Amino acid sequence: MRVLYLTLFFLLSSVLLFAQKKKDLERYNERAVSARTDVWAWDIKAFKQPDLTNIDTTQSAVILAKHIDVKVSSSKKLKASVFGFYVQRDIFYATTVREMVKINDKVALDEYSQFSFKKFRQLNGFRAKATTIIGVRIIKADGTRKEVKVDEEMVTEQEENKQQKSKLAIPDLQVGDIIDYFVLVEEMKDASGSIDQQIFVLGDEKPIKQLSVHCEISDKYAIRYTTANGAPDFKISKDEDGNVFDLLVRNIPALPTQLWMSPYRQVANIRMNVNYGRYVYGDIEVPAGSYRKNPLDGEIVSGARLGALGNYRYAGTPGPVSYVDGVRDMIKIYQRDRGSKLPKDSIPYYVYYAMRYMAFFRVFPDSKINVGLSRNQNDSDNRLFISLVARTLRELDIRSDVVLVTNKYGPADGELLEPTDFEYVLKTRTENPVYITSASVFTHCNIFSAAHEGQNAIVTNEVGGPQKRDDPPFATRVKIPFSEASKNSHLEKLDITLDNNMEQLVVDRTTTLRGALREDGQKDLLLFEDYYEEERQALGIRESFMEKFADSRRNKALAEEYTNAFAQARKDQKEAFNSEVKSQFDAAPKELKSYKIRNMGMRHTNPDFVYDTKFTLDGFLKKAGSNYIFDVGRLIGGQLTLKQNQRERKVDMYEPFARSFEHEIIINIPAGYKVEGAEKLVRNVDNTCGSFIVSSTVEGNKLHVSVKKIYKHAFEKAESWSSMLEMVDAAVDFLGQKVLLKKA
Amino acid sequence: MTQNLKYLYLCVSLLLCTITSNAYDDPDKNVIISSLEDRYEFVYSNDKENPVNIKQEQKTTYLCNQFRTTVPFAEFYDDKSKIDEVRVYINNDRRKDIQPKYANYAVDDIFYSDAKICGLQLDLIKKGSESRVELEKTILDPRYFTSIYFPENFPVTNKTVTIIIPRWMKAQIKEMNFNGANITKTAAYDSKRDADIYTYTAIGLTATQRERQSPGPSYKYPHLLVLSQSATTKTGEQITYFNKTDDLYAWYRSLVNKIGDNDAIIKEKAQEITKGLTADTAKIMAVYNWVQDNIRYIAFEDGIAGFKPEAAQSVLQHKYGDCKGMANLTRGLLKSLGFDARLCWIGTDHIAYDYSIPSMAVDNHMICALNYKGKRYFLDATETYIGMNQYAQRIQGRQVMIEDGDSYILDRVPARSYSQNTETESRSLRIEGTSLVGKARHQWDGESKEFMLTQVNGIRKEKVSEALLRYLNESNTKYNITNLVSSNMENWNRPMDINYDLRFQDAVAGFGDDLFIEMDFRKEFGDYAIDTAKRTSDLLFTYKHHVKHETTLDIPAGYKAELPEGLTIDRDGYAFHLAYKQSGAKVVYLKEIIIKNNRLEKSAFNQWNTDVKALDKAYREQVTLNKK
Repeated sequence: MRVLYLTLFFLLSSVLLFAQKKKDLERYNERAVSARTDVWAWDIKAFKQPDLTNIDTTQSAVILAKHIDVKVSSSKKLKASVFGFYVQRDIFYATTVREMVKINDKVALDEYSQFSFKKFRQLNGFRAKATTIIGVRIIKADGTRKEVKVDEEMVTEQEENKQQKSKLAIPDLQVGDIIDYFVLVEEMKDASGSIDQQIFVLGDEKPIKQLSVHCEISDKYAIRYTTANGAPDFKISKDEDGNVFDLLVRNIPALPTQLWMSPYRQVANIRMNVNYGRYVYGDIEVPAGSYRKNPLDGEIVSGARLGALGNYRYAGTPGPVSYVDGVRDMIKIYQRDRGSKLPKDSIPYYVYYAMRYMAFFRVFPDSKINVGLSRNQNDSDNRLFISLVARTLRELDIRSDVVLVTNKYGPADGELLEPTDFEYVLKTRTENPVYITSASVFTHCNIFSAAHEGQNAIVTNEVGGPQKRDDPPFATRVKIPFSEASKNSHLEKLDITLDNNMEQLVVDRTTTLRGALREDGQKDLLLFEDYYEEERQALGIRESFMEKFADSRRNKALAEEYTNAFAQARKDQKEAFNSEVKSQFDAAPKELKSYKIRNMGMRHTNPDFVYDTKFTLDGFLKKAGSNYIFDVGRLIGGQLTLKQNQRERKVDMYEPFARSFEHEIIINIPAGYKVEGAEKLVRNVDNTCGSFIVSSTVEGNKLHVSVKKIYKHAFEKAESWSSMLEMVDAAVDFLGQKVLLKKA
Repeated sequence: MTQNLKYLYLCVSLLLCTITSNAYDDPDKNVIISSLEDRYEFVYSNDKENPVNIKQEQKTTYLCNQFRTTVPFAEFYDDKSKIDEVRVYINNDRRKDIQPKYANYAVDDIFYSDAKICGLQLDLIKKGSESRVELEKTILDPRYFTSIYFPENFPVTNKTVTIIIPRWMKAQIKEMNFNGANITKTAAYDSKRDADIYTYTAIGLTATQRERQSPGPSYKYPHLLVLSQSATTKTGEQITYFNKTDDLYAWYRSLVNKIGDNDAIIKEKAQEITKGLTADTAKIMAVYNWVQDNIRYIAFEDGIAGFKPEAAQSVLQHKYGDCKGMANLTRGLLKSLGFDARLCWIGTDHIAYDYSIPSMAVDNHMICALNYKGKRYFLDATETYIGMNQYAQRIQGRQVMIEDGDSYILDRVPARSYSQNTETESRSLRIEGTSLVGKARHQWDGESKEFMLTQVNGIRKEKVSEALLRYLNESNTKYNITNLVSSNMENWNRPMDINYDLRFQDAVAGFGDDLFIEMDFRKEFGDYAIDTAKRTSDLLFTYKHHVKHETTLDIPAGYKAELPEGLTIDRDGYAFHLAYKQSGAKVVYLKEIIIKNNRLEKSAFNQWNTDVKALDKAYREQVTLNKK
């Protein structure tokens, strides 16, 4: 079903009750009629005479024409809107997206056969509301056009928040038809309300024969826009009311695979921001009625600096500052109990982990009991987190600067539009700077986020203040380094024996997860009860919440409840380990005999997440007369397998990070058997992209197999695709490798 | 510090984006329903359309055993019922601030329904605390008051169900699945009310469990069927509800009589569909296929519309409909061509009852019956890819109520054996290096064909041709398929054939002078062990499977073959046969898997697991080719 929200923002912001009066509905219906008349009459040849030549029928659907029409606040132009009455005082904007799609198969038929939308939505803000109008026509294979009587076909449901959701099942739509539909969203807000960013993406999973954009924006607004990844520029003209932006692109092929893509950096797009009145922020100033194309990075930086300062100031206001006070109190007690002060270079680390504790680990008597694995998924507001850390450090006499860095999956340098295109990293102004990025339950101090690797970042001194004499030299730019594959590693040590019946493998396994590969494993497996206690002790917090509850008359019973909840969580942990083995080996363990966390890896000082599991696996041994064939290759678990349509690639690869996967396997050869074929396991693929290397030896009654798969870089140019394929295919190929256990 | 901490707590939400999920509650332990009182009373109402209502009063008390948590409370209602009041008590304190939310109940498969949900999140504030929800609800029409189930989502310590039937109301209560349940009944006459009061007390009910492929609740759980037969109104007027099955039919028929089909439009379409066809059977099949292929199944369940079919011309215009709309259109098209086609009401195998019980709880589906040359065929166009005279498991053997003017006919949809669903695969292979190379041929029929076509056509965001390849090679990229030729995939009245060339890489393991080959690729049911520790109900296979397979392998010159033993297991409900033989210079592998009965009883689980383990082991046995 196509759910028709033009942006997610609409969905999130429409939370208030919006009762419809009969009058509203009448006005809506009138407007819907006139809107349909207008849109169907658009003078665009691609819609009037769709080009049905060279339709790629191997595609599920082909977009014959797509047109986006944006109108922002012209009392004259919008007089027909549902809210005509308020025109003089408020912002209006209307977006129409019309698509004409040739449906080639049942998959596409399914996608376009049901629509869901909200006629009326309340937006945040005084009198702010929106209406959605849709129109649908079908062009049958014989050329007859039929308009769907939307009002008659629609059913309306009440949703929990009392808003009404309308659903439409498209009648008489069949494979081979063309569906021609539009969605018109009209919004009214007061002048302080924001208008959503317009993103014109010049690409889709389906091929597009023609894409056009037409924006009429009144002179009451200031416009900024950025063209990215080779998107053509608008043709800009003036009409009596304001600026007019036009764009026309033809024959856009279907977008390539989803694998290792960064759409903001790889798909042509134009982002446009529209603000009421004059726009001034940082060094950018755009008068109303004017526009600014492709602002300079420096100008965006100036805005981001202001943002960093604003966050920092906010962190000092009552409420947020209590976190700062809390950490300061913790450090005092820590130092008092230790009888010595923390060395200055240790302070940022203590503050980071203490703030992480404040955000994620504390428990209050009124808290909901949440000690299961789902707690591990909690996340925080990164900007506020680093601002709180900066403020705490400042109180402890350590200055820090905010580093502005783009996310590699977001807009790139040179194509920035908004200060929020930058993310913030804190850098202490110390001899050995400490970098503080995001925080979640298992993040470490002084580690960069993988999404920032390789980015050229800008250091600002808004928060740190002017350079002092003792400060280390100030660099305005830092390049966020790429992490090495060896630092982001997944290491498996397997010691395998065969059961007496020669049916099952008994696997004794130690797993080590490092770097960027660590956190997901921790989230899946670690229990709050365990890591809470380890961190509490590390931070020198005198009493655990359990002790505190047990000592309090009022909350005594609560300690018992937590004990019960912990016991429940431990049961779930066993299930989690079961699933972990299953996902690693692509086969469910027959029996999980034991599991144990060796090292939780909560801090950079002891960073590896290490755990042991012991279990049995079925299905790896196959009988062949008196001999057995052992599917050794499958021991490395599921490997990235490319679909046929993914094997051709002409675009760069945005991988998550460089990474390595290692298996050190020992197979104990059962008495009375010898191994054959060990030498055939050897692989030696090593190229610029990665490597897949297997060695094997037989020593006494043990077969040793060592498998290393390395993705050497976080980013590869498209030209390297064949090297990547070579490595990826080698790993998939290895899955089928076997050895023979021959009856001696 | 305390003050500071309290303030801090207030600010926690400032920084933390919590994932709102509590520790998973063990349903058997942390929360139970300590007491549930459920009371139903037939009462007069002033509403002329619905002169008799049922007033329900329900008090549900939840007890927290281990640690504080929140549980969802939900009650369903629709156009034929209304929620009058919901009161929440936490530790016996009335909490007016906790108000339920009322919303449409959206089910993925149902596009639109009048089912609504009244729900709230109920806090259990500490260990040992109780929270209670009191609900008052009115069921407007006794016809829709069909059943009362005993188990709940949580274990129940004590539940009483009281049904008050005034003597002016004739209703019968049927006790279903009471065997093994600790339920006692008392009956008393209340002279003041002039009513019979039936009270059922159930002790120690385990929680309901959702399990995949399990029989419907009417097979599993103790429940009461309430059969409202007739009533005498305040004015002395007699209303008949469902006194006997005839009344049920009469009511259904009254709805059908209101459909308002436009015969001219239907006839025109029928003629268009059958244009150029002369044979009756060709016409019938053309109509059935056309409805299957061109009418999208979209389920509507809406008050009376949940029982009254949409007019045929409307379904025709929309190109979508629910089961009733599709059955009625099929009937209309066939009738307009002069065939004897009729509507049928049917309960699928999800429902444990038949029409010996006069209740709307008996059926949930509608199909079309065709009487042709002394034979009766059933056409269910919601089964998109099934052929004529083939029946989906869910309707096989089920009783149908066939319209017959003012009367009706009871019949059964024929049961089909597994042979309706035979799927065959034969491969002839030779060894090239470490690959097996050759040709493969498949044929599917009945429900195996329907399953395959549904899978291939239904994979979102994937082209049919690719989906078909992935279906055939089970996503194994080493199982390379080329030169694929299929029979017409738009015609499912015939078995579906597919032929292709195959190259299965790394399928031959060579060690020293020996070659090892696994003859089975698909290993059906090899990993189908049932977790007997968890599973509580019988297992339903989607359909009765019948897999026939043959692979021949050329023995390369200079080699001799050593063959595995094979396997023969034949039980009441299923059979597995694997056999290897040498025929000249070929190894022949034969496999036949039969699921004779689609229901595997719990008592057969252990045997099934043993058999499946043996099957899996046998699948993995290798053919050895030794150099002579």
